[in-house]
Amino acid sequence: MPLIEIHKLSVSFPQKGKEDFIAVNNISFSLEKGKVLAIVGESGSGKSLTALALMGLLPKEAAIKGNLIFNLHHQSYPLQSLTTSQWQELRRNHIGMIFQEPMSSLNPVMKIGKQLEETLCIHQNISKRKAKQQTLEWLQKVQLPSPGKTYHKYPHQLSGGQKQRMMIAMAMCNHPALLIADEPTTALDVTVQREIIDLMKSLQLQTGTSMIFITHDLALASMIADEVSVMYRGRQTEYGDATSVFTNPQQPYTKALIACKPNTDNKGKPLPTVQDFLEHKKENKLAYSASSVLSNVLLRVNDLDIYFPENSDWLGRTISFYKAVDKVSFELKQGEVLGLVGESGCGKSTLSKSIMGLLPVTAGSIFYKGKDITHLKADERRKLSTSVQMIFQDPYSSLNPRLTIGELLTEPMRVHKIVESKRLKTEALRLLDLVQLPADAFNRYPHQFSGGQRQRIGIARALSVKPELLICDESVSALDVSIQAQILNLLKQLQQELQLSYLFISHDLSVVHYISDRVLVMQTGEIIERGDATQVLLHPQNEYTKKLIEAMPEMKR
Amino acid sequence: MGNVKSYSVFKKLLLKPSAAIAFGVILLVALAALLAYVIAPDNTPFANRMIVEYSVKQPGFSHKVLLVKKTIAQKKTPAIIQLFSGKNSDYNYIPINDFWVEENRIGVQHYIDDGICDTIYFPLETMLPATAKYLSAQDTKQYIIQHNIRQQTYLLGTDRYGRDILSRLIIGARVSIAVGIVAVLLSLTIGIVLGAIAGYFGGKVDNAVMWIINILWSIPTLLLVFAITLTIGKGFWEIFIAIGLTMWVSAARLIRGQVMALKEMEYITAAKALGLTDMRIIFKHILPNIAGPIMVIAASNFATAILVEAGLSFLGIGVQPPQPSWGLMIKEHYNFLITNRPVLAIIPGIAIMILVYAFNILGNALRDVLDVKDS
Repeated sequence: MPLIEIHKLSVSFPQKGKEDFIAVNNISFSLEKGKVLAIVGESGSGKSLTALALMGLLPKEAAIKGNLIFNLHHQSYPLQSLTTSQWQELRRNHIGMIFQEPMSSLNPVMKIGKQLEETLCIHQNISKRKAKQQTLEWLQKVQLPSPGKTYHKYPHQLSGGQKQRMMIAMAMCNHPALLIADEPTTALDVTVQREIIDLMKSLQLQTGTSMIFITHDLALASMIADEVSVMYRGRQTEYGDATSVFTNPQQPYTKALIACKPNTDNKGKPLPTVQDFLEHKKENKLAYSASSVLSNVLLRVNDLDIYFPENSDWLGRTISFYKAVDKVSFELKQGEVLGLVGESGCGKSTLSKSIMGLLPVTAGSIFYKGKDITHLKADERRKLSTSVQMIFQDPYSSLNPRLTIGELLTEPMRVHKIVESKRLKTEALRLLDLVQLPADAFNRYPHQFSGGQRQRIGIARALSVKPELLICDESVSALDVSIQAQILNLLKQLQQELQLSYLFISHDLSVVHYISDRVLVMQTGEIIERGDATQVLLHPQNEYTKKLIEAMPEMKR
Repeated sequence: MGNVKSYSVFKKLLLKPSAAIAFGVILLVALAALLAYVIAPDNTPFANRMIVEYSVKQPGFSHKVLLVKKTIAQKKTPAIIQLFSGKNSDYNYIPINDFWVEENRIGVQHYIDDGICDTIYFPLETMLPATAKYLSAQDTKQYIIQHNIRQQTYLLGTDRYGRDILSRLIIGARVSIAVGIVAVLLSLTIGIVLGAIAGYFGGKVDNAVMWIINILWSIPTLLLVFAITLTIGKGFWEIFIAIGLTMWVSAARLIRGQVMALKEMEYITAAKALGLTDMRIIFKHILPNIAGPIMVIAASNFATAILVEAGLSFLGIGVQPPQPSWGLMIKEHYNFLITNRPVLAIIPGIAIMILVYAFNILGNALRDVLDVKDS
């Protein structure tokens, strides 16, 4: 008998004056004991709502239909009709949960050892001494360094990965029959993600727990799952054995998800998009011509240091610094795409901000077209902003919610007098067309657009001042893979059409490799490897680069 | 703020019954304050017609008066000014129980108090125009009843000087509304400028502004207003400015915090990267996004200003008599509270309470409506 049987589950939300919004539509699956089911889907696909339905944590207004059966010790619980106290009992003893954001799940004023001990004591009737012993064992099991010391630490003293290990320990210490992990590694760096996935897999095998693993990353799912359910807009598009789904996908959406991720094969070619697959378009797109890199240097960075004060003495004099960027030098030629890869906290964003003049430079110099731009006066800096522009990470916070798209696009043009004032609107419409948005976007507000469309608006705004160099700071990291493919295609296309140069910053080596001609790898403020993009990806020299490439989730075929 | 958005905020606000009532009360008081001299029964400047015989009458008191032309002609003011600052009366009001016409004089039974009266005579020519000189006695009486006798009714009673409380209440609303408007404008202007600059630039500017704020905050508000009124003098406008000058502190602090949070948003970084000037970023990109909290603090500052003004007038350093203000009305009559005429002080007190309460409800409702993100 399977542990969980879901039959025709639908979740819908009532809407004022409209038909109900069906967020999850008629999905069915089952999960055997000791198996891992991955639910894969992009944002808004209904994957998290499915998990919430399994935990009884759906919002009050949600209406639920279908049969959800939880079989445990020859007893069946119909999940759709449990009372609150039955749910609490079930969640307390038989279901463990791991969420994306570990910090908000831990009590910040309680030692982590105590928190784990408390969890153990609530569930199992054991003595304090025994609980402490078990706690130390679990800290060992989730491979936290020196459990004796870690026991006495507070959550803020742990790194993100360590906190997630803590969460895994807390979720698994009472041997739940089912573990639900909702995007447990999305907030983590790739190298840490790899370690956490390995840990979860081994613990799951040891304890024989069943697991539902929710992710947007198909490759990640392929590393851990026995069975896969692919969701798209509330529907289950494909469901089956992991190996067969990944090696021989039947549905166009699954095929698209696999194909639209940049990899070693599709460099230099436009990425296929979900649209192409759904409409059964043939892959007849032309490969991009190689970037026409000119010999003149557009941007040159010499021995750049950016320090932040860390400690100061009682007179307020700084006595130690945090070196965010440490002796960094590189050149960016006109027409080139230079990739910059590194994990969070390596200083890549600090570097990009200092080039934009948003952060003061401690030492070293930055040249743009041979002109020293390290310490510019405010008005010269403003003039420079028409040559160097930036595309940001978060499409939701990078657009002023109070301005229409038209205002957003025309404002920089008006301030810098790029075009005459009567041609502002025509120019804005041309920009919208350039980033493939409809002209009626002009009078709408940012909240009326999806994430991918907002990112296009951000790109149009950056292009409005006719820059030559674009700094893309994690510009596609917050987007779903299918949207990411579209934006990457757009960026590549714009680069060819407008002869732009990019400094492309990302934590994702495959994306950087896809778009860049040359690549810099950055670690703790220093550049540790540089070279041709493909060369670095296929034949890394530095140990850290090797580790980074190793950790990239790769599709098992 | 987009027009569409502000319109829907307003609509949402009116959908809340409590907010709609509060808004209605405020609108009513504001209208009454604006048209004070049109609706007030007593339209002399500052509703200052004293009929000492009518001192401290109960609400609903009604009595006959004889209008006797004043011997000194009153200055003529244009009608439009009369509309906004009242009209000096050409007549003295003599309360009477009865009157009779004799040969060339008119005799009245002068009302002094309930059950007390005396008889006084006025020459007829003070009442009658030149053309009416040769009317018969009967016609003369008719003429006087038509033109010189009036029934005075005091809906809310009279104060210790025999003035109409209702009129003084209506005209006193002007002070409360005006002090609110001036104080809010002044405090928000200073608060927005200093708060936005401190929050946006940070560092030494921030330290300097915060230093001023912390010092001003450590001085009790009333004491600070005393100090300011001592410097710039006391009177109608001075008190407004004094209140405005003390209230910017809380506004500045709140706006500073909001700006600090907002300047970390990527769209502000984007605006900087696009080479926009700091002033443009503050006024075009930051302030419209904190319009919500600013409106909430405006509503609460309005309420506070009304209370502070009432307090100051009560202490005697606010609005000066004979100009009516709700605080002053309480001051003039609070000692009647323990007698059988407590309404004298209670009526303006209730007026203050209702208006302040309405502003606080409006402020809370505004916060609720504006708090919902992107709905």
